[in-house]
Amino acid sequence: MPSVSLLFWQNDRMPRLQQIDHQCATSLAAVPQNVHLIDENLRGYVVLLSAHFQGFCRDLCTECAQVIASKRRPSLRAMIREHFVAHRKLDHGNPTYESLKADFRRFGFILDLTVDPANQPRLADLSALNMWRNVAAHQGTTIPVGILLNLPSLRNWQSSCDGLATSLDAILYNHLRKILRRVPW
Amino acid sequence: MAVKKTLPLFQIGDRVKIHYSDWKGRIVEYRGPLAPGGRHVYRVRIPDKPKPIYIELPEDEMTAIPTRPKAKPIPSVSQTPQTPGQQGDGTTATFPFFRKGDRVEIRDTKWRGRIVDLRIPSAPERAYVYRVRVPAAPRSIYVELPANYLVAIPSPAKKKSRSAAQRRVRDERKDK
Repeated sequence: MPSVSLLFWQNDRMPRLQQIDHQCATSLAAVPQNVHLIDENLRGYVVLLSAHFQGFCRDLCTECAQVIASKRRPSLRAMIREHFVAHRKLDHGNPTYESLKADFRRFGFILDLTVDPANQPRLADLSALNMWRNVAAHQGTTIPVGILLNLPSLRNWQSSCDGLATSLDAILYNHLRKILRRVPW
Repeated sequence: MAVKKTLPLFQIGDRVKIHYSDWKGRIVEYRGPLAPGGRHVYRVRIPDKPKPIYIELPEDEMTAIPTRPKAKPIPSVSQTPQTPGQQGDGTTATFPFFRKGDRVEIRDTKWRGRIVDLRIPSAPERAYVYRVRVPAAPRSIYVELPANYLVAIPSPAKKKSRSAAQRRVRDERKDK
């Protein structure tokens, strides 16, 4: 059974991103093309995609912390929850693989998404997404070499984020089930 | 796991006390129904030095601290006088300006009366409405007005009642 975070990703975050996708497609199909509008739409899409994936990862981290804390006695819960949230990288930084590993390390395991061979190209896509996200959000002038910002690559990155979200959810489910000796959600 | 759909208990900005601790803080973010059983989770900021503590808690592990309404600032002499219940920015006050029993005069009339009831506003920006009893013959007149139609009348100072000792001395003199 998927977590609340994954259900929210699938039922709320993805449809919202789909609407931005439609907007980009509409601006690309317009005749004559408005080059500036296309560029702004694509930059907006890349920032939103990164933000929604970061939101999913934060939600999943919080959900896992809540599950673990709920199994402890009430007087310890606030302390345990504080430990899971303090200086969390996903609260401030981009959802890079390093941030994910650092934040999920608190649950007592080393996150290894590369176990699944399908995740290796997805992680490369995540890295490219974060690079373009920084360029778009900070009006950067140094454009990533060899990575184009266009609608097909954005769709590819969105699909990769979806795959990573499902994979993360499954890894956390199995780990929590092992340490809690019951189904977490 | 069955998830109950309920409405969030708190709002962003609410002050809360965390159970089983001395921590008090303010809700800064609603995180969603992420706790087991679909309970709503909030991010709470607890003031601390050198940096505040942030914690994410489900709604049943904290209690709301009632906050007092903000006190009305005392206008300085240089400020232009305002009508009661009217704030500097033109909006209507959201706290009662008069109390039950206050003596008031109705603006632009010679009618004087006493506040007998006040109606709580239905929306935050709506003004309080006061029910005023104006003595008249054969029956009193009741009017309902907002605060900006009313002027407070300072109640006269009460006469000092005589003490028991004074009364005894007076009675003794009468007897003589």
